[in-house]
Amino acid sequence: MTTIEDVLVDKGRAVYAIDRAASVLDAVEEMCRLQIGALLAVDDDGMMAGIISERDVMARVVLTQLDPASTRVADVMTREFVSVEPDTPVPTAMGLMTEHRCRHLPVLDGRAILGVVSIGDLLRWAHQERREEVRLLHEYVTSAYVH
Amino acid sequence: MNNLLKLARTPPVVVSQETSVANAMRKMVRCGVGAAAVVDRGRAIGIFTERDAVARVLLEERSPWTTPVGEVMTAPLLFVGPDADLHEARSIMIIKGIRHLPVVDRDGKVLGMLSLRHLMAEEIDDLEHEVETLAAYEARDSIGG
Repeated sequence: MTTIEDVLVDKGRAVYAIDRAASVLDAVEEMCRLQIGALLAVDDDGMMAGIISERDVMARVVLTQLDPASTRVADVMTREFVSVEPDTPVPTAMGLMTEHRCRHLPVLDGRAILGVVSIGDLLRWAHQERREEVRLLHEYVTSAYVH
Repeated sequence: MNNLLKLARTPPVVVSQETSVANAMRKMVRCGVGAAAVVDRGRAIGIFTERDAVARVLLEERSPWTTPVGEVMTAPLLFVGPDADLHEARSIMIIKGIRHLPVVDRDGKVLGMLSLRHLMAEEIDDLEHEVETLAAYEARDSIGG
């Protein structure tokens, strides 16, 4: 069974994170610069503390008229996040995203961050797998097999 | 109803271009969606997403209460027709790196909104089907081996 580790090998282990004491404005600038929908929020020691997403910013900062420059990431981030481990099977991770309606899953060992996978990463990965499957099938049916 | 619309959110979240950004955001939060289709007299002209909300409203310091959504939406609109194939829609979303794809008819009416989450649900169905097929295959006695 394919696991999250396989997806990480494929997409890379880069983690976009921000100090939970940073301002929401800094977080938004970073998300826009990187063209991503969420950042992991980390403690002083670099350990997982929460996730801040565009949705958190829209619902908890813009609509509540908080000042993004003086509001801290820790004040509005999602603390009740769902995570996976490297050996979590990909379908299980997909099920978690559907069940908990989240779009990013941190890959953790305890509170240490090993990577992050988004809904887009998992779909891209499934798409590539399917193309590879089609390519192999095509190769098979067009090859000069003998039986 | 074809496959694409069975999978997409119907009815979609739609706002008119004169709607304030704040009202559009409230509607999106209430409905738990990340994007709303923007229409002008019933015809689709753009899409307003969470990304637009943070990048073009918060960062550019526009007021959500006085800015009409038409001013900060993403346009022109990338969409598919109701008869489009699911694979075609999936390819567009993955290759273009977009999270939402509206389904629009010939008259410009927005019939549904397809999101990555819907594709994920479809992917899980496919995987489950594959597992069932394999299990049935393995359980079958075969003289051919």
